[in-house]
Amino acid sequence: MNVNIEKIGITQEENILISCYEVNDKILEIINFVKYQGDILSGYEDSKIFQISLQDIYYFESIDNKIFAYLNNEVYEMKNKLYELEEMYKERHFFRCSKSIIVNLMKISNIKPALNGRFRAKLKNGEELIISRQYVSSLKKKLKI
Amino acid sequence: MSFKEFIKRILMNYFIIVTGITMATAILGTIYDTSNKFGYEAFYSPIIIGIVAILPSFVLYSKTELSFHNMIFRRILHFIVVEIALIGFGTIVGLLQSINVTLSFAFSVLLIYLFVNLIMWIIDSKTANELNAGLKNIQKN
Repeated sequence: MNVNIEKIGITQEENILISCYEVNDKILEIINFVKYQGDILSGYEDSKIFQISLQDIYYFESIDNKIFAYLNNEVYEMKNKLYELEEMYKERHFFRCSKSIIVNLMKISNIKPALNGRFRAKLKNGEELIISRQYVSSLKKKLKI
Repeated sequence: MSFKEFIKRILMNYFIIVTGITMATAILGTIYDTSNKFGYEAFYSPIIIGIVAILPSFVLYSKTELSFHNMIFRRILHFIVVEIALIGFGTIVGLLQSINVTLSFAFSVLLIYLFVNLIMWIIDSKTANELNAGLKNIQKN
């Protein structure tokens, strides 16, 4: 893959053009990386602060009044409240799927029915989350169904 | 889950139950009671039995999210309560007059219970397919 860079004047809008044969997973990864570059959060682990990219987060969960961000193999504590994260990132494909979880819709592989009108979301790292029945209609709205 | 959502689901289940009861009555009546003739009042039976069958659904209601095992336990409890309620109702109104009829009735209740759950599963599978299509769409853009 060739990379070309063109320096432009301050009056012009910066943009990235991707020329490809097909929009496959690799291209989607590049697109997501570029789109979400600006979204860096601070996560905490053992009193150390880590910079985490929003696009790497699979879901946020509230446990015992603490908020945790779950990545592929890491978990970090967040200082924000769950409702704050929900408000901040609702335009970034983050969706409140239950009382205690906000999931990154870009990290869901598929959704299957579970018991009693609930649904099970399988994430790309193999984990499964429950989508509560009361949030299904909001999810349909968000996905424009 | 909100109470409003719960009631919505109960109503949906109620109409499926009434359909199942109507079908079961037709089949059982054809097998055990072919000579019987009914007036229009017979049409009230599935509606009334449906109400008796749907009332135990409140066993399944919970404000907080139930765990998988808790849900399974409540489902089994719900089914047992439904069987007891319906057999009790059938005995009181004189519908169940022999062991054979009672056992057939209990088996029909089981079949209708499975039928309702199957229909709900089919509806939920359709919803899941729609959600997956929506997800695929936003993940591509």
